[in-house]
Amino acid sequence: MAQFRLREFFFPSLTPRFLIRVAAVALVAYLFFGHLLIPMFIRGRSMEPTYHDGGFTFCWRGSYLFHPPRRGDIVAVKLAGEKVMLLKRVVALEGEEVEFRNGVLFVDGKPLDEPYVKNRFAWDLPPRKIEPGCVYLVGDNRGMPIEEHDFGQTPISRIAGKPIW
Amino acid sequence: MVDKKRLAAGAALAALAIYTLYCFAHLEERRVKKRFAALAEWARKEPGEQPMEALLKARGAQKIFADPCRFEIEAYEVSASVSLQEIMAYAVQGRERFAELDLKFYDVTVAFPEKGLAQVTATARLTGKRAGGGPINETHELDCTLKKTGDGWRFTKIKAVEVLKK
Repeated sequence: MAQFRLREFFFPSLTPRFLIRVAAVALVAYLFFGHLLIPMFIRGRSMEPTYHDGGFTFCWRGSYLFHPPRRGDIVAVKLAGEKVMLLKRVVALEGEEVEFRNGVLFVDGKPLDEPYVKNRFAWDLPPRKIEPGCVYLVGDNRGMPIEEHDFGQTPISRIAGKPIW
Repeated sequence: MVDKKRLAAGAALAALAIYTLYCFAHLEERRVKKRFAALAEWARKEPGEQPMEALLKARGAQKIFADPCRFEIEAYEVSASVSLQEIMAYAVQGRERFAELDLKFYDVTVAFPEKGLAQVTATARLTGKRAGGGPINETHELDCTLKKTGDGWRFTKIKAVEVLKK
């Protein structure tokens, strides 16, 4: 009996009922992993040491259904679609003023405590106000010249979600 | 009563007809996407590329770009209409700066606002090595315009969208 069950498990009979079940599972998996919990392979070093090149996580699309992004959140930013996204940290919110002075990030004139930043280049950026409906994003890896790091403000509508770990 | 075999054959024929119609309806879209594949191939550089190969590759620009083609890349402070001759010259010079280059496109969405004109958004990912050894890892959202000419689609405008505004 046990042998029969084992054989049925690994080599099931292709009955219509079984095929419908397989199709349903495939459809649910496609919808869930294609639109709700998107697998993400991390390429690049802009979020080190929090995320390393070659790492893996999932992006949860439902993160901002009920509230906007908060300071300190790590978010995935859409480009032309969702196959390639940018992973950055929210450091300032709409209406706030951001500035870099000698590598230290100032929000509304006060230095921001950023324990996740381990290396700092002496970045300098004049103050700028974040437009309505936008957030300011920077990667955790500041150990490079400012010109080589992609950061800045982006509309909240571009944020696809949040990595789950 | 309808024979089961005939029913299956009918269903297969209907599926084939739907697939053929779908292919015809998306023929131009596929041709435009092929231009992006050609652009990626044109930009690709294998390690140890010979100067002659670089020259031949650069000449391939005639099949990809219109004359002139407009480039708008704010991150590099580029905003200019460039002739085919200039594109070829820049391509030869530019390739010398890199030891290895690989360009890939993702999320290519094609729209046809009018006949003979395609508006495309895509994500471009450029990876490789500089001639000095440093890595290249760049990602940009592109907004491109292509025009249909006598012998295919040509890029008339390539604009990099500023997703993160410093």
